Amino acid sequence: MLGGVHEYRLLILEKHLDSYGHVNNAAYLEILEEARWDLVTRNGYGFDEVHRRKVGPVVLDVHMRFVRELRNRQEVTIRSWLDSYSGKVGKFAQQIVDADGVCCEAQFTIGLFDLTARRLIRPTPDWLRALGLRPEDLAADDRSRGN
Amino acid sequence: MSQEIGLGTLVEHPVWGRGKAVEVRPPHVVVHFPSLAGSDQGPRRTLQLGAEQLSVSAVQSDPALDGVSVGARKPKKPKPAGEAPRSRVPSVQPLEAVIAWFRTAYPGLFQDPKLVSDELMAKRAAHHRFGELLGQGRGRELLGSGASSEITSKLVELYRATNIPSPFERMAVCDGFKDGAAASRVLKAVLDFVDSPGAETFRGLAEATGSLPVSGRGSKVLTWPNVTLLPFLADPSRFMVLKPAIARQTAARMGFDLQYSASPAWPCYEALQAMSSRLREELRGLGAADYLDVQAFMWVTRGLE
Repeated sequence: MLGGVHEYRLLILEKHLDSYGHVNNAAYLEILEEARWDLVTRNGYGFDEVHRRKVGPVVLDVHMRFVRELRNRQEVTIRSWLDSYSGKVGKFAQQIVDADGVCCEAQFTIGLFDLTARRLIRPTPDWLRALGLRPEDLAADDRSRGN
Repeated sequence: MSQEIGLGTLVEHPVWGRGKAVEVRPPHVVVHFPSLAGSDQGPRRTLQLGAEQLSVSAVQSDPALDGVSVGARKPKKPKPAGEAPRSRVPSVQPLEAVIAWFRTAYPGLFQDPKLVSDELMAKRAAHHRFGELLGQGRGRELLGSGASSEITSKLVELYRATNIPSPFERMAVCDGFKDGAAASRVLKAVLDFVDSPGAETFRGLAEATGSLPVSGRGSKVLTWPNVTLLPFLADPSRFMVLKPAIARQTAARMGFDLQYSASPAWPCYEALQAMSSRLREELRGLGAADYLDVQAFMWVTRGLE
């Protein structure tokens, strides 16, 4: 992983639940997105900045694994970190955890999108800082690592 | 000795190795042996409690057995008359077809530029980096000097050098390496295993990895990729890394009994080594030289079924 791990606390609320009384699968994506926005906003690249620059993050792919159900009024922490960045594409990992362990794991493929040119661009230094990185972190990891 | 065997006791058998007493019905005991997991009868054997070949193990915790539940197995539901037995082997491509696909997808075979850049370059770089950081006795010197923070940083660098463990496995193991003493135990276990591979040193490696402290909310420190990555990077001419899904898929393609167990255990790793050796021979004509090539082949062909 690159940089540090961002932790975002959240209380599961009624709005997250479905008719089964647990968090609906689609709501997980919203919860994870909320944590990612918290990370980049705290690092100076929030919603307003995205629209001022007309350059912002996009999700290209997601894989999720639901480990344990999340119930009403449950306190959880979302852990987020950048796993790698190669060329225009980054790998971002998130976990939803509670006191008993992991409830959900997700791996995102992300990119930086130019809203004017409508295409992916290479990560800018400001965007890397938003993800908690320094340019030298990227230089050290800018390589394909293969599985 | 046999009187001491109770429910959950770990025992030793001269042929089948370490096992766990999962049922005690005097004068018999039912023992789960991971080494027999791939056998037709399954991993359980019923033995006399007083049998001479059965002794209480000196250790009473084993990553391969701690997760094995005790108690009688649930009786199998009888199959309705006339129902054909379902195949337990997943539908897979035969190895010959997989090799044929590989030849088409990578015309340069193991020197194909795409295969090299996507799969091999970073892994070879990580192998060389292992040599620079810990090879030629440097790992033992570090252990001797007690430079635990240096050991931590080197192990973290090596785990970050490939994507073989998942991001979650890497996070868990790198979190654990923050404890320098625990990181040093892992390094020692890795070097012991590489110097003298066998059941005992593999168990030591699994135990050292499994004993890494986890944050309590973390996960997945004791996994196959985490346990087997460093020997693979240390010497890919001798050691394979185990990623469960592709290892099992390859075993099915080759009709090989992998003796797979979810927890890292020597019988499965030994079988993986034998399978990988056979596959390397199959691929030698295509230019495969070591297990880096074999692992890359297994990875790039994983989506064919």
